[in-house]
Amino acid sequence: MPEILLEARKLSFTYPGEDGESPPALEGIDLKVAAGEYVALIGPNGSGKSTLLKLFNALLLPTAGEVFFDGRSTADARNIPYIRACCGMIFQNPDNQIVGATVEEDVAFALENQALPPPEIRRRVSEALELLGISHLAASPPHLLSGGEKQKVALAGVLAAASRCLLLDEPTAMLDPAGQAAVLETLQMLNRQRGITLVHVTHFPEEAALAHRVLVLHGGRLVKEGPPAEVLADLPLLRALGLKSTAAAELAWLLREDGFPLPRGIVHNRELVEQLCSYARRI
Amino acid sequence: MRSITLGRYLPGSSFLHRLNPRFKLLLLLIALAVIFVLKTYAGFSLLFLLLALAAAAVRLPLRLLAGMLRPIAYIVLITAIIYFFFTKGGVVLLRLGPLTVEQAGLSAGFLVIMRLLGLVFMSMLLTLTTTPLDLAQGVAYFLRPLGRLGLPAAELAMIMTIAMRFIPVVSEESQRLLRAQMARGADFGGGFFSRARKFAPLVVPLFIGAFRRADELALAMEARGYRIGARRTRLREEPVTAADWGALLLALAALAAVIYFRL
Repeated sequence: MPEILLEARKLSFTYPGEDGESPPALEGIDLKVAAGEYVALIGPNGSGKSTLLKLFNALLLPTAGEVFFDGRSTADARNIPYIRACCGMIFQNPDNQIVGATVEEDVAFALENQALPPPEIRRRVSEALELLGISHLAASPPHLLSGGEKQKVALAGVLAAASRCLLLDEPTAMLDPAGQAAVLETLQMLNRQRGITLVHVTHFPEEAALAHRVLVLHGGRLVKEGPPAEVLADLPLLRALGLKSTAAAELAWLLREDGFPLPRGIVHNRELVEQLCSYARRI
Repeated sequence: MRSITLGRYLPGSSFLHRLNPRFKLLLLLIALAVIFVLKTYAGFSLLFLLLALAAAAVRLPLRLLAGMLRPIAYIVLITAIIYFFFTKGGVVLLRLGPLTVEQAGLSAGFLVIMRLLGLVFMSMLLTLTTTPLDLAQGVAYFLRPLGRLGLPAAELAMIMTIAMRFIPVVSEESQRLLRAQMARGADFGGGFFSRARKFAPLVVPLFIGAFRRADELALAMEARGYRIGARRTRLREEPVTAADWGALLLALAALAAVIYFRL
Protein backbone atom coordinates (compact mmCIF):
# COMPACT_ATOMS: atom_id res chain seq x y z
CA MET A 1 0.00 0.00 0.00
CA PRO A 2 1.63 3.27 -1.06
CA GLU A 3 1.90 6.08 1.45
CA ILE A 4 -1.11 8.43 1.39
CA LEU A 5 -0.03 12.07 1.10
CA LEU A 6 -3.31 13.91 0.68
CA GLU A 7 -6.60 12.84 2.08
CA ALA A 8 -10.07 14.38 2.22
CA ARG A 9 -12.66 12.82 4.51
CA LYS A 10 -16.34 13.71 4.05
CA LEU A 11 -15.12 17.12 3.02
CA SER A 12 -17.64 19.90 2.50
CA PHE A 13 -17.01 23.57 2.00
CA THR A 14 -19.31 26.57 1.69
CA TYR A 15 -17.88 30.00 0.96
CA PRO A 16 -18.59 32.32 3.88
CA GLY A 17 -20.84 35.28 3.29
CA GLU A 18 -23.14 33.34 1.03
CA ASP A 19 -26.68 33.08 2.27
CA GLY A 20 -27.92 29.73 3.54
CA GLU A 21 -29.73 29.02 0.30
CA SER A 22 -26.64 28.82 -1.88
CA PRO A 23 -25.26 25.33 -2.44
CA PRO A 24 -21.90 24.41 -0.93
CA ALA A 25 -18.88 24.70 -3.23
CA LEU A 26 -17.87 21.15 -2.28
CA GLU A 27 -19.91 18.41 -0.70
CA GLY A 28 -19.04 14.98 0.68
CA ILE A 29 -15.66 14.59 -0.99
CA ASP A 30 -13.76 11.45 -0.03
CA LEU A 31 -10.41 11.28 -1.69
CA LYS A 32 -6.94 9.85 -1.24
CA VAL A 33 -3.86 10.79 -3.19
CA ALA A 34 -0.79 8.60 -2.80
CA ALA A 35 2.73 10.01 -2.55
CA GLY A 36 4.23 10.24 -6.03
CA GLU A 37 0.88 10.08 -7.77
CA TYR A 38 -0.14 12.38 -10.63
CA VAL A 39 -3.81 13.27 -10.38
CA ALA A 40 -5.74 15.42 -12.84
CA LEU A 41 -8.83 17.27 -11.71
CA ILE A 42 -11.35 18.17 -14.39
CA GLY A 43 -14.83 19.61 -14.34
CA PRO A 44 -16.82 22.57 -15.65
CA ASN A 45 -16.32 26.08 -14.30
CA GLY A 46 -17.69 26.43 -10.80
CA SER A 47 -17.47 22.71 -10.09
CA GLY A 48 -15.16 23.32 -7.12
CA LYS A 49 -11.78 22.35 -8.59
CA SER A 50 -9.86 25.41 -7.40
CA THR A 51 -11.65 25.34 -4.08
CA LEU A 52 -10.51 21.77 -3.52
CA LEU A 53 -6.90 22.76 -4.26
CA LYS A 54 -7.07 25.62 -1.77
CA LEU A 55 -8.42 23.25 0.87
CA PHE A 56 -5.45 20.95 0.34
CA ASN A 57 -2.90 23.53 1.47
CA ALA A 58 -5.04 25.20 4.10
CA LEU A 59 -5.71 28.40 2.20
CA LEU A 60 -9.31 27.46 2.96
CA LEU A 61 -10.49 25.36 5.87
CA PRO A 62 -13.31 22.81 5.54
CA THR A 63 -16.78 23.69 6.80
CA ALA A 64 -17.33 20.00 7.48
CA GLY A 65 -15.11 16.95 7.29
CA GLU A 66 -11.34 17.03 7.33
CA VAL A 67 -8.33 17.39 5.06
CA PHE A 68 -5.03 15.73 5.87
CA PHE A 69 -1.61 16.36 4.39
CA ASP A 70 0.89 13.67 5.32
CA GLY A 71 -1.41 12.63 8.14
CA ARG A 72 -1.69 16.15 9.58
CA SER A 73 -5.02 17.92 9.65
CA THR A 74 -5.22 21.35 8.00
CA ALA A 75 -7.61 22.41 10.76
CA ASP A 76 -4.74 22.55 13.26
CA ALA A 77 -2.98 25.90 12.81
CA ARG A 78 0.29 24.41 14.08
CA ASN A 79 0.46 22.18 11.00
CA ILE A 80 0.06 25.01 8.52
CA PRO A 81 3.73 26.08 8.18
CA TYR A 82 4.70 22.46 7.54
CA ILE A 83 1.89 21.92 5.04
CA ARG A 84 2.65 25.14 3.15
CA ALA A 85 6.36 24.31 3.05
CA CYS A 86 5.71 20.85 1.57
CA CYS A 87 2.72 21.58 -0.55
CA GLY A 88 3.42 24.22 -3.18
CA MET A 89 0.76 25.88 -5.28
CA ILE A 90 0.94 27.24 -8.80
CA PHE A 91 -1.79 29.57 -10.05
CA GLN A 92 -3.17 30.28 -13.46
CA ASN A 93 -1.86 33.79 -13.92
CA PRO A 94 1.92 33.76 -13.65
CA ASP A 95 2.02 37.54 -13.25
CA ASN A 96 0.08 37.62 -10.02
CA GLN A 97 2.11 35.08 -8.10
CA ILE A 98 5.60 36.44 -8.58
CA VAL A 99 6.60 38.52 -5.58
CA GLY A 100 10.29 39.21 -6.07
CA ALA A 101 11.79 42.02 -8.10
CA THR A 102 14.17 39.59 -9.77
CA VAL A 103 13.83 35.92 -10.66
CA GLU A 104 16.21 34.72 -7.97
CA GLU A 105 14.57 36.85 -5.32
CA ASP A 106 11.21 35.41 -6.21
CA VAL A 107 12.51 31.86 -6.12
CA ALA A 108 13.93 32.66 -2.68
CA PHE A 109 10.64 34.01 -1.33
CA ALA A 110 9.28 30.81 0.24
CA LEU A 111 12.73 30.03 1.70
CA GLU A 112 12.95 33.51 3.19
CA ASN A 113 9.57 32.88 4.77
CA GLN A 114 11.00 29.75 6.36
CA ALA A 115 13.76 31.95 7.79
CA LEU A 116 16.56 29.75 6.45
CA PRO A 117 20.13 31.06 6.61
CA PRO A 118 21.12 33.03 3.46
CA PRO A 119 23.83 30.57 2.24
CA GLU A 120 21.27 27.73 2.40
CA ILE A 121 18.76 29.88 0.49
CA ARG A 122 21.40 30.71 -2.13
CA ARG A 123 22.24 27.02 -2.60
CA ARG A 124 18.62 25.91 -2.97
CA VAL A 125 17.76 28.77 -5.31
CA SER A 126 20.59 27.90 -7.70
CA GLU A 127 19.60 24.24 -7.54
CA ALA A 128 15.98 24.98 -8.41
CA LEU A 129 16.94 27.37 -11.21
CA GLU A 130 19.28 24.77 -12.65
CA LEU A 131 16.69 22.00 -12.41
CA LEU A 132 14.25 24.05 -14.47
CA GLY A 133 16.94 25.26 -16.86
CA ILE A 134 16.46 28.97 -16.12
CA SER A 135 19.76 29.77 -14.38
CA HIS A 136 20.50 32.34 -17.07
CA LEU A 137 17.43 34.34 -15.98
CA ALA A 138 18.46 34.63 -12.32
CA ALA A 139 18.92 38.39 -12.35
CA SER A 140 16.11 39.26 -14.79
CA PRO A 141 13.11 41.30 -13.68
CA PRO A 142 10.00 39.11 -14.00
CA HIS A 143 8.05 41.46 -16.27
CA LEU A 144 10.56 40.91 -19.07
CA LEU A 145 9.97 37.13 -19.17
CA SER A 146 7.61 35.17 -21.40
CA GLY A 147 4.57 33.50 -19.88
CA GLY A 148 6.19 30.07 -19.98
CA GLU A 149 9.32 31.40 -18.33
CA LYS A 150 7.27 33.10 -15.62
CA GLN A 151 5.45 29.85 -14.90
CA LYS A 152 8.82 28.10 -14.66
CA VAL A 153 9.95 30.75 -12.18
CA ALA A 154 6.85 30.04 -10.12
CA LEU A 155 7.63 26.31 -10.28
CA ALA A 156 11.23 26.95 -9.27
CA GLY A 157 10.02 29.02 -6.33
CA VAL A 158 7.88 26.15 -5.12
CA LEU A 159 10.55 23.50 -5.72
CA ALA A 160 13.26 25.47 -3.96
CA ALA A 161 11.13 25.15 -0.84
CA ALA A 162 11.61 21.38 -1.15
CA SER A 163 8.01 20.68 -2.00
CA ARG A 164 6.78 17.12 -1.97
CA CYS A 165 3.51 18.02 -3.56
CA LEU A 166 2.43 20.52 -6.20
CA LEU A 167 -1.09 21.86 -6.45
CA LEU A 168 -1.52 23.25 -9.96
CA ASP A 169 -4.44 25.50 -10.78
CA GLU A 170 -4.61 25.59 -14.58
CA PRO A 171 -0.91 26.40 -14.85
CA THR A 172 -0.90 26.42 -18.66
CA ALA A 173 -4.17 28.29 -19.29
CA MET A 174 -2.46 31.60 -20.09
CA LEU A 175 0.53 30.25 -21.99
CA ASP A 176 1.25 29.84 -25.69
CA PRO A 177 1.75 26.30 -27.06
CA ALA A 178 5.52 26.42 -26.54
CA GLY A 179 5.09 27.61 -22.96
CA GLN A 180 2.44 24.94 -22.33
CA ALA A 181 4.69 22.20 -23.64
CA ALA A 182 7.61 23.42 -21.54
CA VAL A 183 5.56 23.49 -18.35
CA LEU A 184 3.96 20.06 -18.98
CA GLU A 185 7.34 18.56 -19.73
CA THR A 186 8.72 20.02 -16.51
CA LEU A 187 5.78 18.66 -14.51
CA GLN A 188 6.25 15.16 -15.89
CA MET A 189 9.96 15.29 -15.20
CA LEU A 190 9.31 16.37 -11.59
CA ASN A 191 6.80 13.61 -11.10
CA ARG A 192 8.90 10.84 -12.64
CA GLN A 193 12.38 11.78 -11.51
CA ARG A 194 11.68 13.41 -8.19
CA GLY A 195 8.56 11.54 -7.18
CA ILE A 196 6.72 14.80 -6.56
CA THR A 197 2.98 14.34 -6.12
CA LEU A 198 0.94 16.43 -8.57
CA VAL A 199 -2.67 17.53 -8.34
CA HIS A 200 -3.35 19.25 -11.64
CA VAL A 201 -6.55 21.19 -12.28
CA THR A 202 -7.04 21.60 -16.01
CA HIS A 203 -9.55 22.34 -18.74
CA PHE A 204 -7.41 20.61 -21.35
CA PRO A 205 -8.25 16.91 -21.79
CA GLU A 206 -4.83 16.36 -23.37
CA GLU A 207 -3.25 17.42 -20.07
CA ALA A 208 -5.57 15.25 -18.01
CA ALA A 209 -4.56 12.30 -20.18
CA LEU A 210 -0.99 12.62 -18.87
CA ALA A 211 -2.03 11.86 -15.30
CA HIS A 212 -2.17 8.51 -13.54
CA ARG A 213 -5.71 9.17 -12.38
CA VAL A 214 -8.43 11.58 -13.45
CA LEU A 215 -11.06 12.95 -11.07
CA VAL A 216 -14.21 14.57 -12.40
CA LEU A 217 -15.90 17.20 -10.26
CA HIS A 218 -19.39 18.46 -10.93
CA GLY A 219 -21.43 20.76 -8.72
CA GLY A 220 -19.06 20.24 -5.82
CA ARG A 221 -19.25 16.46 -5.95
CA LEU A 222 -16.80 13.87 -7.17
CA VAL A 223 -18.77 12.20 -9.98
CA LYS A 224 -16.13 9.89 -11.45
CA GLU A 225 -12.55 8.84 -10.91
CA GLY A 226 -10.26 6.38 -12.58
CA PRO A 227 -7.33 6.06 -14.97
CA PRO A 228 -7.44 8.40 -18.00
CA ALA A 229 -8.28 5.50 -20.32
CA GLU A 230 -11.44 4.92 -18.33
CA VAL A 231 -12.57 8.45 -17.50
CA LEU A 232 -11.63 10.19 -20.73
CA ALA A 233 -13.17 7.38 -22.78
CA ASP A 234 -16.51 7.91 -21.02
CA LEU A 235 -17.76 10.42 -23.54
CA PRO A 236 -21.43 10.29 -22.54
CA LEU A 237 -20.51 11.43 -19.03
CA LEU A 238 -18.12 14.14 -20.21
CA ARG A 239 -20.61 15.47 -22.73
CA ALA A 240 -23.38 15.53 -20.13
CA LEU A 241 -21.12 17.80 -18.04
CA GLY A 242 -20.29 20.01 -21.00
CA LEU A 243 -16.72 18.71 -21.15
CA LYS A 244 -14.70 17.28 -23.98
CA SER A 245 -12.27 14.43 -24.17
CA THR A 246 -8.98 14.32 -26.05
CA ALA A 247 -9.06 14.61 -29.83
CA ALA A 248 -8.06 10.93 -30.10
CA ALA A 249 -10.83 9.80 -27.74
CA GLU A 250 -13.45 11.89 -29.58
CA LEU A 251 -12.31 10.58 -32.93
CA ALA A 252 -12.18 6.96 -31.73
CA TRP A 253 -15.72 7.38 -30.44
CA LEU A 254 -16.98 8.64 -33.80
CA LEU A 255 -15.15 5.85 -35.63
CA ARG A 256 -16.63 3.23 -33.34
CA GLU A 257 -20.10 4.68 -33.85
CA ASP A 258 -19.50 4.17 -37.57
CA GLY A 259 -18.68 0.53 -37.01
CA PHE A 260 -14.88 0.53 -36.77
CA PRO A 261 -13.86 -2.26 -34.39
CA LEU A 262 -11.78 -0.02 -32.11
CA PRO A 263 -11.30 -0.98 -28.47
CA ARG A 264 -12.48 1.36 -25.69
CA GLY A 265 -10.05 3.41 -23.70
CA ILE A 266 -8.17 5.20 -26.47
CA VAL A 267 -7.13 8.65 -25.26
CA HIS A 268 -3.72 9.36 -26.79
CA ASN A 269 -3.08 10.16 -30.46
CA ARG A 270 -0.36 7.52 -30.55
CA GLU A 271 -2.78 4.80 -29.39
CA LEU A 272 -5.35 5.75 -32.02
CA VAL A 273 -2.74 5.72 -34.76
CA GLU A 274 -1.47 2.31 -33.70
CA GLN A 275 -5.00 0.85 -33.60
CA LEU A 276 -5.86 2.29 -37.00
CA CYS A 277 -2.60 1.02 -38.52
CA SER A 278 -3.08 -2.47 -37.16
CA TYR A 279 -6.65 -2.37 -38.46
CA ALA A 280 -5.44 -1.24 -41.90
CA ARG A 281 -2.90 -4.07 -41.99
CA ARG A 282 -5.59 -6.62 -41.19
CA ILE A 283 -7.84 -5.68 -44.13
CA MET B 1 7.57 50.26 -22.50
CA ARG B 2 9.55 47.09 -21.97
CA SER B 3 12.48 48.63 -20.20
CA ILE B 4 11.07 50.72 -17.41
CA THR B 5 13.78 51.94 -15.09
CA LEU B 6 12.70 53.19 -11.76
CA GLY B 7 14.17 56.18 -10.10
CA ARG B 8 17.41 57.13 -11.74
CA TYR B 9 19.58 54.15 -11.00
CA LEU B 10 22.68 54.11 -13.17
CA PRO B 11 24.01 50.55 -13.37
CA GLY B 12 27.69 50.35 -12.61
CA SER B 13 30.30 48.99 -10.26
CA SER B 14 31.98 52.08 -8.88
CA PHE B 15 33.07 52.51 -5.27
CA LEU B 16 29.76 54.22 -4.50
CA HIS B 17 27.76 51.44 -6.16
CA ARG B 18 29.42 48.83 -3.99
CA LEU B 19 28.87 50.53 -0.64
CA ASN B 20 26.21 49.05 1.60
CA PRO B 21 22.92 50.97 1.09
CA ARG B 22 22.49 51.46 4.83
CA PHE B 23 25.91 53.07 5.05
CA LYS B 24 25.16 55.21 2.03
CA LEU B 25 22.09 56.56 3.80
CA LEU B 26 24.23 57.34 6.87
CA LEU B 27 26.83 59.01 4.65
CA LEU B 28 24.13 61.17 3.09
CA LEU B 29 22.99 62.20 6.56
CA ILE B 30 26.53 63.19 7.57
CA ALA B 31 27.06 64.99 4.28
CA LEU B 32 23.89 67.00 4.90
CA ALA B 33 25.28 68.02 8.28
CA VAL B 34 28.54 69.05 6.59
CA ILE B 35 26.64 71.18 4.10
CA PHE B 36 24.81 73.05 6.81
CA VAL B 37 27.95 73.65 8.83
CA LEU B 38 30.05 74.81 5.85
CA LYS B 39 30.19 78.57 5.42
CA THR B 40 33.37 79.56 3.59
CA TYR B 41 34.03 79.65 -0.14
CA ALA B 42 37.10 77.51 0.41
CA GLY B 43 35.01 74.88 2.16
CA PHE B 44 32.43 74.76 -0.62
CA SER B 45 35.13 74.62 -3.28
CA LEU B 46 36.57 71.61 -1.51
CA LEU B 47 33.13 69.99 -1.25
CA PHE B 48 32.34 70.47 -4.93
CA LEU B 49 35.76 69.21 -5.90
CA LEU B 50 35.01 66.01 -3.96
CA LEU B 51 31.57 65.73 -5.48
CA ALA B 52 33.02 66.18 -8.98
CA LEU B 53 35.49 63.39 -8.27
CA ALA B 54 32.65 61.15 -7.06
CA ALA B 55 30.63 61.97 -10.18
CA ALA B 56 33.61 61.06 -12.33
CA ALA B 57 34.02 57.77 -10.44
CA VAL B 58 30.36 56.96 -11.04
CA ARG B 59 30.82 57.93 -14.71
CA LEU B 60 27.88 60.28 -14.47
CA PRO B 61 27.05 61.53 -17.98
CA LEU B 62 27.00 65.35 -18.09
CA ARG B 63 23.76 65.30 -20.07
CA LEU B 64 22.07 63.44 -17.22
CA LEU B 65 23.48 65.88 -14.70
CA ALA B 66 22.14 68.86 -16.63
CA GLY B 67 18.75 67.21 -16.98
CA MET B 68 18.54 66.71 -13.25
CA LEU B 69 19.60 70.21 -12.35
CA ARG B 70 17.14 71.92 -14.70
CA PRO B 71 14.04 71.41 -12.55
CA ILE B 72 15.68 73.00 -9.52
CA ALA B 73 17.21 75.88 -11.46
CA TYR B 74 14.11 78.04 -10.86
CA ILE B 75 14.12 77.34 -7.15
CA VAL B 76 17.77 78.29 -6.94
CA LEU B 77 17.20 81.45 -8.98
CA ILE B 78 14.21 82.64 -6.96
CA THR B 79 15.89 81.89 -3.64
CA ALA B 80 19.01 83.71 -4.75
CA ILE B 81 17.06 86.82 -5.82
CA ILE B 82 15.22 86.93 -2.53
CA TYR B 83 18.48 86.70 -0.57
CA PHE B 84 20.33 89.19 -2.81
CA PHE B 85 17.73 91.91 -2.39
CA PHE B 86 16.29 91.34 1.04
CA THR B 87 19.24 90.47 3.28
CA LYS B 88 20.79 93.73 4.36
CA GLY B 89 24.14 94.66 5.83
CA GLY B 90 27.59 95.71 4.76
CA VAL B 91 28.60 97.74 1.74
CA VAL B 92 25.95 98.58 -0.85
CA LEU B 93 27.11 96.91 -4.05
CA LEU B 94 24.28 97.71 -6.44
CA ARG B 95 21.43 100.18 -6.44
CA LEU B 96 18.37 99.63 -8.64
CA GLY B 97 15.93 102.43 -7.79
CA PRO B 98 14.59 101.62 -4.33
CA LEU B 99 16.23 98.17 -4.30
CA THR B 100 19.78 97.55 -3.15
CA VAL B 101 22.06 94.57 -3.15
CA GLU B 102 24.32 94.65 -0.13
CA GLN B 103 27.34 92.57 0.78
CA ALA B 104 25.59 90.46 3.43
CA GLY B 105 22.84 89.62 0.94
CA LEU B 106 25.31 88.55 -1.70
CA SER B 107 27.20 86.20 0.56
CA ALA B 108 24.02 84.79 2.15
CA GLY B 109 22.60 84.21 -1.34
CA PHE B 110 25.73 82.40 -2.47
CA LEU B 111 25.69 80.26 0.63
CA VAL B 112 22.11 79.19 -0.01
CA ILE B 113 22.78 78.43 -3.67
CA MET B 114 25.80 76.34 -2.76
CA ARG B 115 23.82 74.46 -0.11
CA LEU B 116 20.90 73.73 -2.44
CA LEU B 117 23.17 72.54 -5.23
CA GLY B 118 25.22 70.40 -2.87
CA LEU B 119 22.07 68.87 -1.41
CA VAL B 120 20.62 67.97 -4.77
CA PHE B 121 23.94 66.73 -6.08
CA MET B 122 24.48 64.41 -3.13
CA SER B 123 21.01 62.92 -3.06
CA MET B 124 21.40 62.41 -6.77
CA LEU B 125 24.62 60.47 -6.27
CA LEU B 126 22.77 58.24 -3.80
CA THR B 127 19.82 57.47 -6.08
CA LEU B 128 22.12 57.02 -9.07
CA THR B 129 24.23 54.39 -7.36
CA THR B 130 21.58 52.52 -5.35
CA THR B 131 18.65 50.57 -6.79
CA PRO B 132 15.27 51.73 -5.46
CA LEU B 133 14.87 48.30 -3.93
CA ASP B 134 18.13 48.51 -1.96
CA LEU B 135 17.19 52.01 -0.95
CA ALA B 136 13.82 50.81 0.35
CA GLN B 137 15.51 48.00 2.28
CA GLY B 138 18.00 50.46 3.70
CA VAL B 139 15.28 52.83 4.88
CA ALA B 140 13.33 49.90 6.34
CA TYR B 141 16.43 48.87 8.29
CA PHE B 142 16.55 52.20 10.07
CA LEU B 143 12.81 52.03 10.74
CA ARG B 144 13.25 48.71 12.52
CA PRO B 145 13.71 50.13 16.02
CA LEU B 146 10.29 51.76 15.57
CA GLY B 147 8.86 48.24 15.51
CA ARG B 148 8.54 48.52 19.29
CA LEU B 149 6.19 51.44 18.80
CA GLY B 150 4.06 49.24 16.54
CA LEU B 151 5.53 50.33 13.21
CA PRO B 152 5.69 47.21 10.99
CA ALA B 153 9.06 47.97 9.37
CA ALA B 154 9.52 44.56 7.72
CA GLU B 155 6.03 44.70 6.27
CA LEU B 156 6.67 48.24 4.99
CA ALA B 157 9.78 46.99 3.22
CA MET B 158 7.74 44.16 1.70
CA ILE B 159 5.11 46.65 0.54
CA MET B 160 7.76 48.80 -1.11
CA THR B 161 9.32 45.77 -2.80
CA ILE B 162 5.97 44.62 -4.16
CA ALA B 163 5.01 48.11 -5.27
CA MET B 164 8.22 48.35 -7.28
CA ARG B 165 7.71 44.89 -8.69
CA PHE B 166 4.22 45.77 -9.91
CA ILE B 167 4.84 49.24 -11.33
CA PRO B 168 5.85 47.84 -14.75
CA VAL B 169 2.94 45.37 -14.66
CA VAL B 170 0.37 48.06 -13.94
CA SER B 171 1.91 50.41 -16.47
CA GLU B 172 1.67 47.70 -19.12
CA GLU B 173 -1.93 47.17 -18.16
CA SER B 174 -2.69 50.87 -18.50
CA GLN B 175 -1.18 50.80 -21.99
CA ARG B 176 -3.38 47.84 -22.84
CA LEU B 177 -6.49 49.65 -21.59
CA LEU B 178 -5.49 52.73 -23.53
CA ARG B 179 -5.14 50.75 -26.74
CA ALA B 180 -8.43 48.95 -26.08
CA GLN B 181 -10.20 52.29 -25.74
CA MET B 182 -8.48 53.66 -28.84
CA ALA B 183 -9.51 50.56 -30.78
CA ARG B 184 -13.10 51.47 -29.94
CA GLY B 185 -12.62 54.96 -31.28
CA ALA B 186 -11.67 56.89 -28.17
CA ASP B 187 -9.59 59.98 -28.83
CA PHE B 188 -6.96 60.81 -26.25
CA GLY B 189 -5.74 64.01 -27.88
CA GLY B 190 -6.64 67.60 -27.03
CA GLY B 191 -5.46 70.01 -24.38
CA PHE B 192 -4.35 69.12 -20.89
CA PHE B 193 -7.76 69.31 -19.22
CA SER B 194 -9.70 67.52 -21.94
CA ARG B 195 -7.06 64.81 -21.95
CA ALA B 196 -7.21 64.45 -18.19
CA ARG B 197 -10.99 64.05 -18.44
CA LYS B 198 -10.67 61.42 -21.15
CA PHE B 199 -8.24 59.42 -19.05
CA ALA B 200 -10.71 59.13 -16.17
CA PRO B 201 -12.51 56.08 -17.64
CA LEU B 202 -9.16 54.27 -17.68
CA VAL B 203 -8.58 54.78 -13.99
CA VAL B 204 -11.55 52.71 -12.81
CA PRO B 205 -10.68 49.49 -14.67
CA LEU B 206 -7.04 50.00 -13.72
CA PHE B 207 -7.95 50.13 -10.03
CA ILE B 208 -10.29 47.15 -10.27
CA GLY B 209 -7.53 45.22 -12.01
CA ALA B 210 -5.05 46.22 -9.32
CA PHE B 211 -7.37 45.03 -6.54
CA ARG B 212 -7.95 41.69 -8.25
CA ARG B 213 -4.23 41.34 -8.72
CA ALA B 214 -3.61 42.18 -5.08
CA ASP B 215 -6.09 39.50 -4.00
CA GLU B 216 -4.39 36.84 -6.09
CA LEU B 217 -0.95 37.93 -5.00
CA ALA B 218 -1.95 37.78 -1.33
CA LEU B 219 -3.19 34.24 -1.85
CA ALA B 220 0.00 33.23 -3.65
CA MET B 221 2.13 34.78 -0.89
CA GLU B 222 0.18 32.96 1.78
CA ALA B 223 0.46 29.70 -0.16
CA ARG B 224 4.22 30.20 -0.12
CA GLY B 225 4.31 30.48 3.62
CA TYR B 226 4.32 34.26 4.11
CA ARG B 227 2.99 35.19 7.52
CA ILE B 228 2.70 38.74 8.75
CA GLY B 229 4.94 39.34 11.73
CA ALA B 230 6.89 36.09 11.28
CA ARG B 231 10.68 36.21 11.22
CA ARG B 232 12.13 36.11 7.71
CA THR B 233 15.63 35.99 6.33
CA ARG B 234 16.84 37.52 3.06
CA LEU B 235 18.57 35.91 0.10
CA ARG B 236 20.75 38.95 -0.36
CA GLU B 237 21.99 40.18 2.97
CA GLU B 238 24.03 43.19 1.92
CA PRO B 239 27.46 42.55 3.39
CA VAL B 240 29.05 45.25 5.52
CA THR B 241 32.68 45.58 4.46
CA ALA B 242 35.72 47.41 5.73
CA ALA B 243 35.14 49.94 2.95
CA ASP B 244 31.75 50.78 4.47
CA TRP B 245 33.25 51.48 7.88
CA GLY B 246 36.14 53.34 6.26
CA ALA B 247 33.79 55.61 4.34
CA LEU B 248 31.74 56.27 7.46
CA LEU B 249 34.80 57.16 9.54
CA LEU B 250 36.15 59.38 6.78
CA ALA B 251 32.84 61.22 6.56
CA LEU B 252 32.75 61.73 10.33
CA ALA B 253 36.34 62.97 10.23
CA ALA B 254 35.40 65.40 7.47
CA LEU B 255 32.48 66.70 9.55
CA ALA B 256 34.78 67.13 12.55
CA ALA B 257 37.36 68.93 10.39
CA VAL B 258 34.76 71.29 8.96
CA ILE B 259 33.59 72.18 12.46
CA TYR B 260 37.11 72.45 13.93
CA PHE B 261 38.65 74.54 11.14
CA ARG B 262 35.47 76.62 10.71
CA LEU B 263 35.52 75.95 6.96
